[in-house]
Amino acid sequence: MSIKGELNPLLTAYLTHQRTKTAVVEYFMPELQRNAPKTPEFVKKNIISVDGIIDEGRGSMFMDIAEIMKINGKSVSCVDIANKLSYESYYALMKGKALPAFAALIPQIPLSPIDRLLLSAIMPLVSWSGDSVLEMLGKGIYDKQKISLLENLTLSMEDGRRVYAAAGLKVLAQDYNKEYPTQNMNQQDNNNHPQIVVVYPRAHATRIANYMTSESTFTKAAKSAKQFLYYLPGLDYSYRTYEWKDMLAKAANKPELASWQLTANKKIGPLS
Amino acid sequence: MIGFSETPVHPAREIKKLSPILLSSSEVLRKAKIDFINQPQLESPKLEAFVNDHVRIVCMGNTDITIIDQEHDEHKGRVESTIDCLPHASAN
Repeated sequence: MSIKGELNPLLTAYLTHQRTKTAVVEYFMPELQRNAPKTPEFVKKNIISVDGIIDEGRGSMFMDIAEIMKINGKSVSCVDIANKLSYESYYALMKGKALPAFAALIPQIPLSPIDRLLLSAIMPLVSWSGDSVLEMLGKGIYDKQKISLLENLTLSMEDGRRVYAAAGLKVLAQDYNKEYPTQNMNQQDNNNHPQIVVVYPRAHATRIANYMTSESTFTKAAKSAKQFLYYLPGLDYSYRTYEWKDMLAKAANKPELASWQLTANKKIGPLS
Repeated sequence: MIGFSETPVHPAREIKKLSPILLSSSEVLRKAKIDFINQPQLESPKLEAFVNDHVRIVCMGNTDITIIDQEHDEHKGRVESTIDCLPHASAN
């Protein structure tokens, strides 16, 4: 595999630090690849072009991160619900995209019945959405500088990713706390504190942190309601942790047997 | 490390045990200086600028959730792999 990426050295320093146990990435290539036979358009749009060449930027950054974690014997985790076509269907639904709806009506395109229904049935209802304009302008839920209280009233699949990323990270941290108990730990003794390094674009990163820590009653109430509203059929509400396994490959002298293995998959539920 | 669970976890129930706390920028910088004290190649002004601009830490119990914002569109990397060259993920 040829990787010519150039991560920021300070990001690399965080990823490779001894405290870092796992890197949480927005997209994990092997996970998308696993879904690729069922989701060619999604994968094509997000990471990989139709002939299999990985796009510069988004694709290469997460490949570079995975490679660094592999070399350093560390895991990669995902908490994002945007990892399969079902998400793309909901996203298209909320943004009022017409093309996927037409695509879903073409029988030659291999889609599951659920995906076909999601893509085709509800498109006429959503042309009101101004979400695309906000995204282009970097405003609203895409603003990189500030978070508006009004966002608490916004429903968008991008927002859904952030709500459930925040929930997933909390559960992941909870599990690391169980694995590395707090007794005899000095708060000043940084080296004993496990670290989860999360890499997301700024508009996502600020809002994920906000959903995790906001003291605003309005935001807390909105987040609780959204966890319920965004809990939709067919999406991955979980944290998934992958580890690079190559012992068998080395023993058999067959490098092609080495792979990223899913070693933890913990479901995250809505409010009940 | 952790294993599998098919039972949905109620996030609110989990969160009650440990409250996430967003660290101040000075505390984030203090942690960075401790973490990278043995890496003089990470020059202090650059480290400070990076931490101030891109790093947030949410502390839960003794675990740090270090959230680093990076725009993938600005990534300088170039990957020439094809799908077939990628490592295959497999679900256990």
